[in-house]
Amino acid sequence: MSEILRRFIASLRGLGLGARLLIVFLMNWTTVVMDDYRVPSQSSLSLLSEVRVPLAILSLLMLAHSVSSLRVWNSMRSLAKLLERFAPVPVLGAVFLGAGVFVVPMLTQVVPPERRWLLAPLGGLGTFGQVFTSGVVFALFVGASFVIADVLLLRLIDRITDDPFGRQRAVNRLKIVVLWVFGVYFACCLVLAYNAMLDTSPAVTHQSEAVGVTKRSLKIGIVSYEVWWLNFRSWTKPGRSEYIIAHGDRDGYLAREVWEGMPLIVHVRPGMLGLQWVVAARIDRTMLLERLVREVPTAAAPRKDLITAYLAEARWSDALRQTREYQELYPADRGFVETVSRSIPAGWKPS
Amino acid sequence: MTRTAWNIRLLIALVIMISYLWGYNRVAGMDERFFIQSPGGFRALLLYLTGDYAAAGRAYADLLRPTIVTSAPTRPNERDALVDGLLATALRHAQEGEIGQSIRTMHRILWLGSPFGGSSASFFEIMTFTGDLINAPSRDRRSALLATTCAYLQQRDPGYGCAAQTYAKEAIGRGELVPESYVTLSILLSDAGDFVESRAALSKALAIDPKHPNALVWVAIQAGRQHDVLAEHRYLWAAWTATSHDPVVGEALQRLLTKLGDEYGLKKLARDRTTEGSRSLRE
Repeated sequence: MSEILRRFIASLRGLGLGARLLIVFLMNWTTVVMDDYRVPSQSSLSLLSEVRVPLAILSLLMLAHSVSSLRVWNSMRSLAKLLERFAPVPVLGAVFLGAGVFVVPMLTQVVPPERRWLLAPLGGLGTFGQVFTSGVVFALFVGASFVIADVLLLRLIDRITDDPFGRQRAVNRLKIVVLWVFGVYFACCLVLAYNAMLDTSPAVTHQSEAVGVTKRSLKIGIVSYEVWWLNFRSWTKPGRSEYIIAHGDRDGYLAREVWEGMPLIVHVRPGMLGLQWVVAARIDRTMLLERLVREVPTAAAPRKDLITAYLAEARWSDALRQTREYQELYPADRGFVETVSRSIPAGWKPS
Repeated sequence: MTRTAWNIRLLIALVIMISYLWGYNRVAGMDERFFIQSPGGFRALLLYLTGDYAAAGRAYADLLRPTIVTSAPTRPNERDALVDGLLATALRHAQEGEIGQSIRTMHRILWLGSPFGGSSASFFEIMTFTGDLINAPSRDRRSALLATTCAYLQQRDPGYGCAAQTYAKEAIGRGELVPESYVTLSILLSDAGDFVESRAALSKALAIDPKHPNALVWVAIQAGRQHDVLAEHRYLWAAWTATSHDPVVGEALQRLLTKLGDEYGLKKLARDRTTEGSRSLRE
C-alpha cells in the first residue's frame, strides 16, 4: 500500500500519467462545483469560473503528452514510426471518405448514364464514408490533434534549446508552476465545495430582481465555450447587482428567458465558512401574478392563479380580497368562488 | 544527446486535421438548402463561402431550373407561402424605392424565427439581392436594407454569413432609417443571444419614436418569447394602435387575451375590429 502511495506521490511530483488523469478528473469535478455551489460575487469568483476553460485545455494537452510518451509505444515502435512517417495518408483518407459522401452523388450527375457502372465501387465507398461524416472522425481528429500538437511542441522546444540539462531544468520548473496553478485552483474549488457541502443551515429566501444575463463565449477555431451569468439586485448592498452562473435545472428557467425586472426568490444558505451560496434563484410567481393583476385587472386566469397561490401560502385575507374583486368582474363563475370559500379554514376571521 | 528530427509530415497531418475540423464547424450549422449535390451546387456553395453572394445566388437559382433539378420539389406549407409572399413584397418595395416599407416587411420575416420557412427560389433571390446591395459603391449602399437581408441570410447560416450587425450600425451612423435599423440590430443581437443589448437597442428605437410600429411589435414578440406576459400585453396593445389595427397583431393580441381569460379585453378588441371594418367599408 505504502509502495503504491509512494509511487503516486512521485507521479504527482513528476506530473506523471496518474497525476494528469487526476487533474482531468478534478477539472470535471470543479465544473460541477462551480455550477452547483454558486457564491454570489461581483468580481473575484468570476475569475475562477472563467479560468477553468484554459485550465481544462491545458489539462487535456498534458494528458495527451503523457499518452504520447507512454512506454507502451516503445514496444510498438515500428507501428508508431510507420504512423508518424505516413501520418498525412490516413488523415487524408478519412477526409476524402468524409467528403466522398458529398462528392459521389455529384459525380453521378456528371457521368453519362451508360458509364455510371464505373461509379459502382464508389457507391460502396460512399456508404463506408457515411461513418466518417458522423462524430467519429470529429472525435478522432480532436484527440489526434492534441497528441500531434503535443509531440510537435516538444520537438520545437527540443530544437530551440541547445543545452539538454538547462532544458530539463526548465521543464522541471514548468512542472512546478503547472502544479502550483492547478493546486491553487483546486484548493479554491475545494474551499467552495467544503463551504457548501458541509453546510447544514437552512436556506433563507431573499426577494430580488433580475438585472439581466451576460453571455461570455469564446470561439477559436474548433474550440468554443459559453458561460451565462445571471445578474440580480443585491439584497446586502442596495443599489448594486451581483451575479452567479445561470443554472437552468436549478432555477427553473433558461438564461435567454431572463428579462430586466423579473422578480426572483433567491434561496441562500450561509455556508460553512461564511461564504453565502445560492441554492436556487427561482422566479417569484406570486409577485409576477400580483403585478399582472394590478396592470390587467380584468384578466381572469392570472387572478385565479394568484388566489390559488395565496391559499397555498395561507394568506387568507389576500385571497378573500382578490376573490371579492374577481366576483365583481365575473359574477357568473360561482364555482370558483365556492371552492375558495371552502378552502379557507372555518374558524378563520378577517382581522 | 542528438537533436530530435523535426517531422514535417506530422505538421502536415495536423494542418489537414485542423482545416477539416474548422471546415466541418463552418458548414455544420448551415441551412440544408445551401447543399445541392451537384457540381453546380458545389460551385455555388464555394461562391457563397467566399462571400460572393450575388454570383452564388445566381448559381443556385440556375440549379433550380426544372431540367437540372433531380429531386422532387417539396410541397410548400402555409409558413413557406407566408415567407415567400413577404419576401416578394419586400423585394418589390425595394425595387420601387420604398426602402422603409421594404425593411419593415423584412422585419416581419426576421421575427418569425425558427423553423425558417420559404422556398429555395425566394431564398436564392434574397441571396442575389444581398450580393447586389453589397457590390454597390459604398456611398450609394443602402445599409439599412442590406442589414435586414444579411440578417435573413445569417439566420440560415448562424454565426457566419455577411456582416449584418456592421451594416445596421453603419446605417445608424449615417442616420439612415434609424429606428428601423435599431430594430434590425435588436433582432440580430437577440439571434446572437445578447438579450440585454437587444432590449437596449429597442429602447433606443422607442426613444426616437415611442409609437414606432415595428419596434413595438418586436418588443412584444421578444417579451412573449421570454414569458414576460406583462410587457407582452402592454406592447401588443400599443402595437395594435400604432399599426392601425394590423390583423397579425390583432391575432397575437387575441391569443394572449384568451390565454389570460380577459373577456373585457377581448370585447374591446372586437369593438376595435368592428370599428376598423366599418371604416374600411366607408372608405
